[in-house]
Amino acid sequence: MTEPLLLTNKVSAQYLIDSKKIAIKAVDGVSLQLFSSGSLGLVGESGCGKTTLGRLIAGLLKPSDGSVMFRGRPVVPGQHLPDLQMVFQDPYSSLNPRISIQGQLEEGLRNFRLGDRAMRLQRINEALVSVDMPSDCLSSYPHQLSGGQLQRICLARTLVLRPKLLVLDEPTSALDAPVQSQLLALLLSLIDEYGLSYIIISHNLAVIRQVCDSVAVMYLGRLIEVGPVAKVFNSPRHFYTAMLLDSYLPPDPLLRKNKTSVKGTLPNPLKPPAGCRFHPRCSHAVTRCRTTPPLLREVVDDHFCACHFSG
Amino acid sequence: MMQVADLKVSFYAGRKEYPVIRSVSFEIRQEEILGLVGESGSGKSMTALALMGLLPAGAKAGGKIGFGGKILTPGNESDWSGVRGREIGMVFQEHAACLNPVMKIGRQICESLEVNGIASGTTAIKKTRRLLERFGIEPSKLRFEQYPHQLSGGLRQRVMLALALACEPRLLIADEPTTALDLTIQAQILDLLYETVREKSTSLLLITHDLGVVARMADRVLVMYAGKIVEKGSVVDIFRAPGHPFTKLLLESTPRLDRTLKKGAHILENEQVWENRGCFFAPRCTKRRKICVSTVPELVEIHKSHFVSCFNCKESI
Repeated sequence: MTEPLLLTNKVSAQYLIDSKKIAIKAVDGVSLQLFSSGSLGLVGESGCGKTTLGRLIAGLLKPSDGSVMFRGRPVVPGQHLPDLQMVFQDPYSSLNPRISIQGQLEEGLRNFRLGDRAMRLQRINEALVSVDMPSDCLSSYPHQLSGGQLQRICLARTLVLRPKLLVLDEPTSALDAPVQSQLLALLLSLIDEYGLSYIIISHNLAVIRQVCDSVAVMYLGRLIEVGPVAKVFNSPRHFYTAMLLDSYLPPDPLLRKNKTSVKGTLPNPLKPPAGCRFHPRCSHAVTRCRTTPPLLREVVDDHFCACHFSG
Repeated sequence: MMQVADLKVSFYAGRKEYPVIRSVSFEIRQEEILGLVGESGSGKSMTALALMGLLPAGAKAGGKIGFGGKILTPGNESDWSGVRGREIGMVFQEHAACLNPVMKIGRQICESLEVNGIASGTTAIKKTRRLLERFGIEPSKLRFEQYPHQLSGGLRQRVMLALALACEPRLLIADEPTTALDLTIQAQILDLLYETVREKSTSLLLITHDLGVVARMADRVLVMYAGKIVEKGSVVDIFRAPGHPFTKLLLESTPRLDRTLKKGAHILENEQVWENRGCFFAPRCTKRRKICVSTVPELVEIHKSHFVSCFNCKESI
């Protein structure tokens, strides 16, 4: 059996608020694994902890409990790895406005003391070709490029380090549809070209459907459904996943839904509901749901769900 | 209901003119939901501001807007007094910036009712309570006394809707009303918006970059590119039989649950072309011909009430 590229073992993270007297568990005992050349989508409403989980995986945040293992070694915050990189939502704010594109692309290689000048330049040029950018952009500064071009530079900045795993946090939500689809197509081509695996954090279900082979649905810090993307989206086992899918608006007026089944909002994370955390919004909830938290278990091959009714 | 004729908006940097809306004409009909779509920078939001008489300082405007027997001249803000807020309501994306942070939300709605002479005193308070309940901002007694920062994004957007529709305007202009919200909240807000405008026979101009939202809501659609309308028609025509290559590009590039991404599709980015004698979309168009770079295409009717400005489309009929 091959070893997973990434393994999180009951990882949790908490934020202390109100003069550190109250703890909010943003991520609560999440166990996930991702194999080489895999692509995982992480979905959920804002506040469900998906970005926090992404930061835990990328080693930007220290877990309060549990561990994150990458290629068999624990991920330690502060000890950055060239083969585990992150791309953020807003390309404008993640690039330094006063450094040229060449400087931005070279910075990572210098920080990790990789290669000499000639080899660095070669890597940069290769990465530019991979993201479909002309080499004359190297002398430009971020304000001279468009949002889509900047996001491709952000991607190239990680590719020069030859990453094995990329964590992308809402990489396309600031972009127009044509630019978004171009970036997603690019991402798909990188899997083969670089032997890359990636995790995409997104609230856009259609984006996940296009570029991921598995998906994990989060609700209030916990995983509630995990599985191959086609299985989860075509036959969701959790009522929350079904509700999320119902909130998707197809770009086709003939498929118009005039009344959504979606109701309620994410509850206050300071007082998470007892039992199944989704029960206050669930129309199928029974007494057991209010008292006993359902465990994530395999319902069919590779398809996991945390719902008392999923069996 | 509202007639927009030859609307133009430009900005100047020194002596150089930068047009952001280049001669746009359309009408908003009684009780209809009209969608306006386009990429960022296409002039969608500037169109909304022009219709509200809220163009930023430095903008130079031309054209005429006919609304309920009045003629409103873009650039002449005083034309909108008594119209803006009363007969034309508006909702923006930045719900946080549009509410007064130091005023209770109930008070803000009361103020709108009072300023526009709809109700005052205890009548205004009662009416506000009913509005809060109608828009799902409950418990209304508690919410009335709360400040904007005490509400979630979804609730604040509900308050924005209640505020915009408090005076029962004949036209509501909503600019990306659900863009910053979760899909689950978006679905609920759109239901509420749809039900309310249908019930009160309000016309709605819905501006968005999200084709899913337009398909859910609109009766008719305008597609804008580089400050011009390149296609207009019924929502079914636009989505099922798009004529303009830009509309097709938008539809193809919108990710869908029931279709996978076309691999290897090369899509040129939105380049801001300020000076161009022909079709503004020509630099990105895969079917570009000689005429496309030399002559400006007119908006022509290719099918009943379906207009497209593209030379390739004109030939196909």
